[in-house]
Amino acid sequence: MDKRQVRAFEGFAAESGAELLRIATLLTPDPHTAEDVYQETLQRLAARWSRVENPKAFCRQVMLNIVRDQARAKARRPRELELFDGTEPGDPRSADPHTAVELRPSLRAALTSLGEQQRAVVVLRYFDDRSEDEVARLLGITTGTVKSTASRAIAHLRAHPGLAAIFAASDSRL
Amino acid sequence: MPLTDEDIVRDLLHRCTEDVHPDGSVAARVAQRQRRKEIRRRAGSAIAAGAALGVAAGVIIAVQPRGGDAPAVATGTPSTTPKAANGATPQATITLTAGQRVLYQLSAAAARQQATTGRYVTLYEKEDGNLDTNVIDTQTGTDYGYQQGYNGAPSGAGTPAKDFSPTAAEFADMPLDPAALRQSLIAYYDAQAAADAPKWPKGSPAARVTPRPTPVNDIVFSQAMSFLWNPSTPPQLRAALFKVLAGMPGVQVDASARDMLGRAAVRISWTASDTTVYTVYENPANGTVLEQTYKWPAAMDLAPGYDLMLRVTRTNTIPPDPYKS
Repeated sequence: MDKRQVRAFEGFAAESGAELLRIATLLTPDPHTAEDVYQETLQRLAARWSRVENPKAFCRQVMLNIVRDQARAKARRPRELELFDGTEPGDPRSADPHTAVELRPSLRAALTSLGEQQRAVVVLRYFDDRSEDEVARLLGITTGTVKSTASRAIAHLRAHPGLAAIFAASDSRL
Repeated sequence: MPLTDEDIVRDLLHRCTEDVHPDGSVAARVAQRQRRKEIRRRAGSAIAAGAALGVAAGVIIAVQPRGGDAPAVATGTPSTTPKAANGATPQATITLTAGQRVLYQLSAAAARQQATTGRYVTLYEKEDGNLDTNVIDTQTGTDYGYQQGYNGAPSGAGTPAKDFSPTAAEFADMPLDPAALRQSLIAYYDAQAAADAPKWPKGSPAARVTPRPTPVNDIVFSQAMSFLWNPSTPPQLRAALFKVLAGMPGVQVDASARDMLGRAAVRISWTASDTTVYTVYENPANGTVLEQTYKWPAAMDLAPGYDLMLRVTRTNTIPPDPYKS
C-alpha cells in the first residue's frame, strides 16, 4: 500500500466502517467477536486493496465467509457454556422500548436462536437492504430459498419471547 | 399505514445498532500492519516469484546492477592503503569503519549458531502493543498469522498467507557471497514487484502512469530487514545479510543500543528515499533480531510501528492459535 492507497483505505473505513461493524454485530454472537470479524475483514480488504473494485461488496462477502467459517469451527468444538445468556436487563416492555441498549440483549438472543443461514438472510435482507437476488448470490442459494428462509426467520423472531411483546404492541395498534 | 413484520424487524435491527461505531484507529492499524506485511512478503514470496519467472539463484549474480547502484561502500568508506614502499607489489589492506566492524562481528556471531530443526517455526512478538504470533511452515512457506484480537478479544483463526516465506530448500539455494546475495535481493524484489503490479485495462489513465523506481539501496535494506525478521532464515544467510549491510553507504550502526525491553542490542538503521526510517535491533551474541521499528513518512499520517520479538520455537506440529480463549 502506498500513501495514496492508505488514505483511500482509511477513507473507506471512515465512511463505511460503522455500517460494516453493525452488520458484524448482527451476524455474530457478541460484540468482541463482531469487532474481531470487522478487523479481520479490513485486514483482508487491505491485503487486496489495489485489486478490489467494490470494497463494500467485497467486505460483505468476506464478513459472511468469516462468520460462516467461525460457526463451522465452533460446531466442531465441544459446546461452550456462556457466562451470561444475553437476556439480562433491557426488557423491551419496560420503560422506553426504543433504545438500542435496552433492545439489544433481546434482539441478540432472538438472532442467536436463528440458524446461521436464517440469521444471514435476515441481516442482509432487512438491515443491509439487499434484494432477494443479491442475498441469494451472496449466500450461494436460490431466490426461492431466500424467500422461504426469510419468512420462517421472521415467524421465529415474532414468536421469540424477547421480541413477542414488540410485535404484539404493533398488532394492537392496527 | 400498518407496519408489517418485516418493517418491525428492519426497524429493530437498525435501532439496536445505531450506537455501534468502530474505533477509528482500527483502520490505521490495519493499514500499517498491511504495509509491513507487504515489505516482508516482498522479500519472502519473491523467491517463489523469481523461480516462476525463471530467475534461478545461480543466474541472479549476472543481473546487471541498476542505475544509481552503489554496492560496495558502507557506513563510512573503508580505505585501501598501499603498504609496500620497497617496490614490491603493494598489498592492499582494508580498513573497516567502526560500523562495518560491528556488522562483521554480528555476522560472525550469527555464523557460529547452529541451525535449528522442526518444520514449523513460531515467532511470538508484540506488534504495536498487540501480541502477535507467526507460524511459518518451512516446507511450504505458508505463514499462519495470529494476532490477539481487538480490545483483547481472541483472534480467531489466523489467515494463512501462501508463499509468505522462502521454504527451507529455497533458503538453502540462496547465495552466501555478499555481492551475489545483494544482487539476489534486488532481482527477487523486481520479480515480485512485476508479479504484484496491478493489471490495469489497456488505455486506462492508470496504465499510462509509470511508477517511480525504488532506489536500489532502499530495496536491499528492506529486503535484508525482512529476512532478518524471518525466524526461519538460517544462521549462515543471516551472517551474509550483515555483510551485505556492511557494504551499503548510509547504514547507521550503534553497537551500544538497547531495545524496548532494555536488552543489549546493535541498532542498524536506514533512512529510505521516501524518508521512512527502518531500524533493526540485533542481539550481539547471536545475530538474531530483537526488535524492528518503522517510522513512516509524515505524509502517510501513520503512527510509527514496532515489532518486539519475544520468543522463537520450532516444532514438527503446527501450534494452535495461542490467543484462542
